Amino acid sequence: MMGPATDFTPDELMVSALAHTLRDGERVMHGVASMIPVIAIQLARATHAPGLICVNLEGIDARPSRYALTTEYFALAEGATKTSNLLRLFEYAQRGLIDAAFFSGAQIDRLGNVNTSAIGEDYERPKVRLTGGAGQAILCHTVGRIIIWLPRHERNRLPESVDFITLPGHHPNVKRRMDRVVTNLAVMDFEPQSGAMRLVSIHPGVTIEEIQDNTGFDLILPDTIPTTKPPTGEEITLLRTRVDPQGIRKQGM
Amino acid sequence: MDKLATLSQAAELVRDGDVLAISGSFFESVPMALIREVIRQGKRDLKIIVSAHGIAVDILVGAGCVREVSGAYIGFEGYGLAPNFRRAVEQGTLEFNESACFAISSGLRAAAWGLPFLPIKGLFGSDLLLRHAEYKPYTWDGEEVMLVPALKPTVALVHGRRADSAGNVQIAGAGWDEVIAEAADRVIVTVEEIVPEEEIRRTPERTTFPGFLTTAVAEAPYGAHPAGSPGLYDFDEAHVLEYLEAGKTSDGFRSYLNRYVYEAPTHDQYLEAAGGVKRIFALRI
Repeated sequence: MMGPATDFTPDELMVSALAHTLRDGERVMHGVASMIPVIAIQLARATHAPGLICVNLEGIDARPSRYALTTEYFALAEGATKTSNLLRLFEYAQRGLIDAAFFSGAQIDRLGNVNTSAIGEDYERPKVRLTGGAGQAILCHTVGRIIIWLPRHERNRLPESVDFITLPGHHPNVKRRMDRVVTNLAVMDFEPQSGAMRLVSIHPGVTIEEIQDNTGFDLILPDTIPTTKPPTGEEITLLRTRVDPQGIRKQGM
Repeated sequence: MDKLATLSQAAELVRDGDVLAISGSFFESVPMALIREVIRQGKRDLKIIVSAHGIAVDILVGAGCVREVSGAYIGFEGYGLAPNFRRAVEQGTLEFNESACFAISSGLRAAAWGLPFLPIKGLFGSDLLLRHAEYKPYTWDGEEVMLVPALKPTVALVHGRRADSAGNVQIAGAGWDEVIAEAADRVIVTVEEIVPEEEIRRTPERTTFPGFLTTAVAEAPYGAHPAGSPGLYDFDEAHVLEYLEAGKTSDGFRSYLNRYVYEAPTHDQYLEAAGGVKRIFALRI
């Protein structure tokens, strides 16, 4: 086992931090437009979680040889044990067969609400009409836990409250767990009592001031703030040579 | 019964005001040749029901064919937002009835099964519920579920891999496509290839839906372009980028439509405009 890498890029750190949230033997899914989690899942499978099974729109437990900036791509079914599709993925989730899911959004607030619908005060005439959350409002109730990935940790992306709740962070009917928020600057989770976002670790080279300046609300801070475990040398080598030699993760940021 | 039609005859079966469901998703099995013909024929006031879609919805909206979209995700994934869709909603010229994927597909499933509604898990706590009074919470044996009403398209537009002249259609890896064909009143199909009936009978395990669901079927090789067809050809990434660039302004998009739709009045002429044999063949998988 090689030690920590000294030379890595922000996308590689984020992919590695997301991979570390997964455990061997789990069944994991990702959303659309999600190349960072797609690569993180394959990295986890190539390192600490060889029995991890990815379920997505194209296939189950596939071995893709290449990628495009879409999750509806034939190569995502290469070497799969079964082809999959939109309905199948949701049906497995309804049945409770998906342990973990990766989602993202344009905004995530202090209580973990995610907005993928519209920016602005008037939903009917928004400043920016976004894509919509695809399956988020359903899947957030039916998967075991949720990991949010956010490539740009900025004030307007982490506001006190979102303009529109596409995916509710906490709700009495919601049995699953908001597990982690992984950004390009830090890793966060949610305090169980209040449901409020809490800092877990800051990425190497990032300061606590930088994080507070780029967050639109007061994060709960632990007494001592650890540094996010950097990618190992093995992870970086695998990423660059075997898991993602094409470098799609860079475009996914 | 012979269901064979030309592309133009097939598109004529779409009427102004129809409720359209569309096959495929972002970049695979999208009935783009059929959609371009619908645009050429100047159809108006269409309502669209999709789950996660991109170019099919965006081009119809940009061409002024659409009054309302029901959907859960309209965009181009990692390539960007849907330019015409976004502009139309922001300017208030298009109604977007936003929901979530499984709520929409379950509404279609209910229609496919002849049911008034289906129960699903989810949606609680989402602001989407503020916009859907028709979704009703219901408690069964202590478990709270959501009842979503049937969604009934009048027309399904489908692009498949192959079919015979009776409209028995084979599509690779199609969950959604099967449901919309079962849910719709009329099913209009294009395929990469029309094959003899014996070929379908030799491979019935590949048939996605039977001919009695099909209203008309037309042959349109590379008919999903610039989307791809699983097992045959990849989507055309360069063309998608060109589309998105053109879509940045209404004028730019008008030029795109002129070049690829109005001034290319047949599918063959479209393929020529899109780069011809050499470019199209380079997409083969």
